[in-house]
Amino acid sequence: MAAAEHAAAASGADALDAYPLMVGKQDNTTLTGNLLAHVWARPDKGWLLSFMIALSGSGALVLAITVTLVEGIGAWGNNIPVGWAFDITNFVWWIGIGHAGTLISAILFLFQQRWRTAINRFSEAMTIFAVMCAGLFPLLHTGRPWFAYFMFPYPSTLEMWPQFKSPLIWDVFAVSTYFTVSVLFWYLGLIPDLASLRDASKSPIQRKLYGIFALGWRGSGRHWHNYKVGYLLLAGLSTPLVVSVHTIVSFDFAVSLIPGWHTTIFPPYFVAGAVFSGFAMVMSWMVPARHFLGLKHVITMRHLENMNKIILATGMLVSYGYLMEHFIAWYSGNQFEWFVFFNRATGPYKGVYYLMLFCNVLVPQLFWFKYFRTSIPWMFIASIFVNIGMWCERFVIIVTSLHRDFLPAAWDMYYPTWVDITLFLGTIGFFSTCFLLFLKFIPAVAVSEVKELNEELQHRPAPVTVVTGA
Amino acid sequence: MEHAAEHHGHAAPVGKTYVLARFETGEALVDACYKVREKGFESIDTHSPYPLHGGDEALGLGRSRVPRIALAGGLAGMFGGYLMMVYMNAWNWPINVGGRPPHAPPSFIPITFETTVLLCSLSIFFGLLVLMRLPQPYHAAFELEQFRSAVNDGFWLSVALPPGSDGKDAAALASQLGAKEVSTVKESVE
Amino acid sequence: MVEVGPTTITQDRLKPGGKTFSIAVGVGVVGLLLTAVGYAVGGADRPSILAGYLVAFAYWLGIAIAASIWNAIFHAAAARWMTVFRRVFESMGAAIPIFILLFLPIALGMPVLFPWVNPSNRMSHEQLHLLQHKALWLNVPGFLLRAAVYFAIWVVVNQLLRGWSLRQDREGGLEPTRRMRRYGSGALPFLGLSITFAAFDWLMSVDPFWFSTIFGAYYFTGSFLSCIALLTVITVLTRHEQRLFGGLVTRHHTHNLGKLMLAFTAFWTYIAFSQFMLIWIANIPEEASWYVVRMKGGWQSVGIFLIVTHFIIPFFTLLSRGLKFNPRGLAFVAVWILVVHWVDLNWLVFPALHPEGFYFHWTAITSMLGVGGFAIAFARWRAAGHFTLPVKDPYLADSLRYQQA
Repeated sequence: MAAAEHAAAASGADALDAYPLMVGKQDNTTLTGNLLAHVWARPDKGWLLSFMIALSGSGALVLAITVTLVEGIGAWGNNIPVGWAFDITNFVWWIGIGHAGTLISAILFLFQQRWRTAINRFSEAMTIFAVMCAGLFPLLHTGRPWFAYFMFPYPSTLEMWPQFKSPLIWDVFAVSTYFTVSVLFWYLGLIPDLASLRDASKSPIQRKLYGIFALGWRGSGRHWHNYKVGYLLLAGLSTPLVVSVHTIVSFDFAVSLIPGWHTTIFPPYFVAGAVFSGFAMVMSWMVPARHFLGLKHVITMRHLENMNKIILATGMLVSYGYLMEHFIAWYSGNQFEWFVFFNRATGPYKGVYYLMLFCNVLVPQLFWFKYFRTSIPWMFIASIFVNIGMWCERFVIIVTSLHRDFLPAAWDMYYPTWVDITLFLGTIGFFSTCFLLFLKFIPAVAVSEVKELNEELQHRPAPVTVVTGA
Repeated sequence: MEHAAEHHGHAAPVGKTYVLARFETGEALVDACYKVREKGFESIDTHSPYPLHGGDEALGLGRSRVPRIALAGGLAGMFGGYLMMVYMNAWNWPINVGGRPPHAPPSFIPITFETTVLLCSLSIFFGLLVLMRLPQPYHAAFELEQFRSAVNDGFWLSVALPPGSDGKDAAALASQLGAKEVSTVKESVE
Repeated sequence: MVEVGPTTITQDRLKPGGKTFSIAVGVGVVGLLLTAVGYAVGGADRPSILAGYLVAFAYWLGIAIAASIWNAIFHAAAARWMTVFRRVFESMGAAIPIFILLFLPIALGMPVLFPWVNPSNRMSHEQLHLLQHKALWLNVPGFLLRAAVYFAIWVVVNQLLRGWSLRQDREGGLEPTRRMRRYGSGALPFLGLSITFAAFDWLMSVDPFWFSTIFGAYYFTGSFLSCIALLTVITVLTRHEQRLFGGLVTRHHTHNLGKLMLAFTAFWTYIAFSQFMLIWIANIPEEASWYVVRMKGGWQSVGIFLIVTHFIIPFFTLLSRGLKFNPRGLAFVAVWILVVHWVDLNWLVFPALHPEGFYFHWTAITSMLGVGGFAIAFARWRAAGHFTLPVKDPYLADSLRYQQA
């Protein structure tokens, strides 16, 4: 037996991971200190200024909602044939942004990706605020949102039930389930950290307030026993849930007969696009937040690079979706289907179409290169482009398919009004308001999970020696 | 070192008494847990900022009941959701939509899925609260100010004392096992 | 429960020949001979016999490509836990070259198999018009050229990844890992597109009038699932071989395989449901005709059989945690999945040839055995003389000591 011996030293492999998951030597005490620091600190000028801008955005939202309610949907640019326009574009865009949060917290948790712990809380919060913004649009689009409860199955005096064969009712169930489960999952994860805030606080008022939300959590082993299982199960449920939500959003379009909408790739393609835009949005917020909140030691370049890799991967999936749509539109030999794609590239909205291709297909290609994956300015710029590109994608799908479908006599153009634009910008303001408040009052990082990760990082596996036999 | 935290001299006799002992690391706490149980103390608990590696076994806890609760919730959501739609759209008030049958399984599946997930999640969340007996605004352990490190950086062992015990034996055992601080707290009953 | 792997392990190279190889060659030769005999005396059944062969070809090749894709994905994700399985993926992918040979019957049988090669005069005017439009894609030289490109991609990707992996066995070091990560990530777009268009060319164009943008995803999801199922079977069969990879696989690894099968069973259902529901609810004649055929008579029974056996049974069995920790039980489910995936591919292809109702020819089974025998024998032959796990991989320790949180 010619035996060659060698040891596969585990430590050597770390050379492949250029960036650590955690910078510097940390322990539970220092982590409690520096992860909660930004909650105790008085808001600085930068935060106050951003908050003021965000708040005025929320003000604009209130104004636009008021105009919509007083004047009706006529205040928007929607018409026949373009019955869906900015409203549904914004709805799909916001819902998509929410998906990154669930993906990070649930799917990466199931895959035991340890880098997720530093960014999950942050992105889960994003999910909740994004779904709130998303829900607003279909609600307003019903025209009389005060009758929105008609959509729920309840024994009314009208003796009417919802029509369950409509994807719009599926949406009501999907979005409300998604919102509920996201809130539960987020809150469940937050309980240990709220207790941490309660017990690290200096003032009695803070102790009372955080104490109420911490529900009396005291890190009991008997609690952790059930908690771990419950958290894992909720993560397991959230994973198919997040897929189902954007799938059902895609059904809103795909069950119809409209060319450019009815295609079978829509469900997975929409889910990939949702994750793509969501990660971009997380990136757009995380780059400044880790800087201003002093979190660079737990949200390291490793996290950012991994996120950029996911942006690249999902960007490629979205491009795959585009390719399938275009190829089959031609292959099918269906002239209406083909015309839609031809019209997208050459019609009046071609600018939006090319912007979409640039942002969603070309820009992510940067991330094939390590230089761009690890350059803070580039990843920030690219993430903004992806956000824009994914908004354009929804606009292209919705408006260009509707404005010229089967009968040329029924064709028309769509132009947004100031109310449309203000509503959209207003939701960005509202989202930012909520998010800034979150960053002020709740730890941006899952403290308990990061401590657990820190503990795990202390234990490297012992090396294995391989003796090679015959 | 051992000192009693007697905040309420007039404490009624029904209040529970706990011995609380802080250990330096999670491993030390897990080891202590096994040894304290060997000595016959059954009503014990650990308190730590994150779940301890091997903590469940140290406390002698079996399989969690949460998966069964989740399964029950999920099944209720699945059948409840589907039957609701069948009742409303196919039986109580059949509507013809584009010539599709009143009972149209493919179009009932998305909502069935959503109600399954919704009820399953709700049952997990509220099931957890029930199993953990939370919210619990007051617990005797909070009488001890130092115990507040349990959710930040301390690893605490708590032993609930049987009626009549003064806890001297448990406290001595904890110190002997390497606890850095040991205290006895009494539940305040007002 | 702490399971620490051994600190010193002994690994042998896989010996050439052996029982697996002999049986596989035997089954392969007998299977293909019987199929050829069946074809010779087949008469009017010839198109169906060839279609059965096409299904067998797509089935086994799909698994081999899926293995390459899994390997590339794990490299791109820098996953550590699967290091112990990596050589198996590489060896499955190493079977791809034999399929170039096995492709010959399909290339020669094109006029019999694909209606678009010689449009018959029984087709309607509109259908002929459509085929004229599609001729830009669906033509014989294009079809063969594309097949050559697909094979080139698959062979090159597998050679690259496997080559560097074997090189690491000899030389050690981190450079091979760095390379494999780079090539693995870069290969993914090529692999994804080639398997998609291969599915369009070889399976979807059996009914040249029907189209579905999700069809590529449908084919590779099934192949992915079967690939993990096959890996599970191999792992469980070799779990007592202390000096091969199987002996080092822990229950944590097999638990993960169970979870992957569960996830991809769900994902297959998701893709299948999306395609079916969208076409059913829109009810446009040009697409719905495909399902109309499959929702009548015998084909409907097969469809219902698939819902039950490809989704309900594996999904709800795999939900059980106990089963995922039980190697024999898991292997049983894996074999089950491998069988129903074959039924699934038959259900995709055969109704196009026999819209009137259920059809089965015994050569479908001999083709499966023949192609499978040759593929397995070839992979086993190429794996011989090498270790069954990457012995000098820098993450081997992480993989062997892998534990779930």
